[in-house]
Amino acid sequence: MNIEFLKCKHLLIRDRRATIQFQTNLAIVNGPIFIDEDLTARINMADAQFSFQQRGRCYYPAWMSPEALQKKPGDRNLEACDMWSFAVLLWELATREVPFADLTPMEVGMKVALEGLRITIPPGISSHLSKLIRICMNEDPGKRPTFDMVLPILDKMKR
Amino acid sequence: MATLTRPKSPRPPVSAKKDDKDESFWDKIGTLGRKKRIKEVQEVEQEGKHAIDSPGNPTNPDLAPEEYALEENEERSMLEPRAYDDPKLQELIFVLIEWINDELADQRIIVKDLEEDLYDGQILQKLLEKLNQEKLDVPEVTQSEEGQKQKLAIVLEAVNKALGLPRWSNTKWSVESIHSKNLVPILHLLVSLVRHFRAPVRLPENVSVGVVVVQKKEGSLSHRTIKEEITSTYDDLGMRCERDAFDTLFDHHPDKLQVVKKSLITFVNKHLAKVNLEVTDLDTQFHDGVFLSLLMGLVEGFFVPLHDFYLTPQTFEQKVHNVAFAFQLMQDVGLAKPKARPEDCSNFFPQK
Repeated sequence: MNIEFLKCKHLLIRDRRATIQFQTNLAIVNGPIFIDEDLTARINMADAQFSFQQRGRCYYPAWMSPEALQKKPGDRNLEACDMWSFAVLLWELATREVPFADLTPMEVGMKVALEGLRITIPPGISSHLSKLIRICMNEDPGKRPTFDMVLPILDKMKR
Repeated sequence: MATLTRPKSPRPPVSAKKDDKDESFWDKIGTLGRKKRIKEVQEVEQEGKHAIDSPGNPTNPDLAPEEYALEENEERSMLEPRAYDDPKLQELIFVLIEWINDELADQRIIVKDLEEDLYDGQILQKLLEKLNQEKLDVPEVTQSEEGQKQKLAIVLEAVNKALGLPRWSNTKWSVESIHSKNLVPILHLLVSLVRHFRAPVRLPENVSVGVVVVQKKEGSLSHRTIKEEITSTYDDLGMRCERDAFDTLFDHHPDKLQVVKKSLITFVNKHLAKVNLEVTDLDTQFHDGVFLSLLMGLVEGFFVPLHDFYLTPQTFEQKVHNVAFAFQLMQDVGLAKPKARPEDCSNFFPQK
């Protein structure tokens, strides 16, 4: 997956389904995605659903930041929201688990938005990665890093 | 969807409302409307000028008291003298007066005569505040005719808003017609309120009155009589939809109603418990649409972003928005369009 792609869009992958949030506030949700051998992800637009087709329904709140669950897109920093989602993706990669798999979307949404429910980082995960996850999901959207700042960190972690 | 996207225009100043408040349905006829509109534009302009020139004095001295001389092509309508003898009309007036007195009993207001008691807007204001459970920002007592009309304008604006009438619609009542103690617009207004707020009264059906319309044409007065329909045929308490299983339940097994309610509450709580919410009374806790929206998400497996509805609705409008939103969710996931209107659900009166 290309991080630069994330930079302008909000991409959320779950069970080979993708949610993409463009900054124009138009979003494709639930488009089936296919990964080629060269690791290029392709989205099948034929079956894709757009966000205006499911107004008021959010099927994957576990990947969304608390402010994204509460505020209108115009009232929040979209890139900071994306950074939160990116942190949840990193958490998935690290733990190989689905966040809040035992809760229904409504439970997750209400608890994350109103009761401070957060994913917990289990022990045994590389300290660099867990630190990155933590800074990416800072409670204050303004204090989350941008993708420009995350890229060098990832590069360093590769070595 | 229409209710959801209804534009929330800022409250227009009273003067701007002049355009539609002066419009009677006569304006639809021929060139009368155009002529009148020019006059209205001039009026509004003058009023605007006045407002700028004298900021310390909000009252506008235009709109001379109604003159009895008619201008060319001007029309005036009045009730036929013998219309008052119609037993159906008498019954309608009686029912309406009883209803108003019932509603306003705790305020020690007693209405005896619709025309004489309602024209100044005082009682209409109290009535609307009671029905809407919302205070209107108007002076308590007004003596001057100008003050009364201004107050009436605000009250009527609030009425139209409560009834969900768009600002541009041709309402059957106006400040002028009600203030001139014309019974027909007062009746139209009250009937609309009764219907909208599901007042627990039964209106006599198909009441119509003879109205004499006088028009000046080429210098001479001509008159004609038309029938004005005040009420038409309604089903019980204004429900205009086909009967369903619940109607049968209400009619034939009122005793079973409690059982049905109980099982519905059990069902609802089974789901709402997951988000630590509990319902004890269907009548009072579902009218604002909050639980309905949350319930939709719980049973259909999605989260409802909190910016799409009001989690703690305060006003009737917010409640209607919530219910309409929940209805939209229901339709989006493939349920049939609910038969009730969102306004009906949000119209919650404490039951006796």
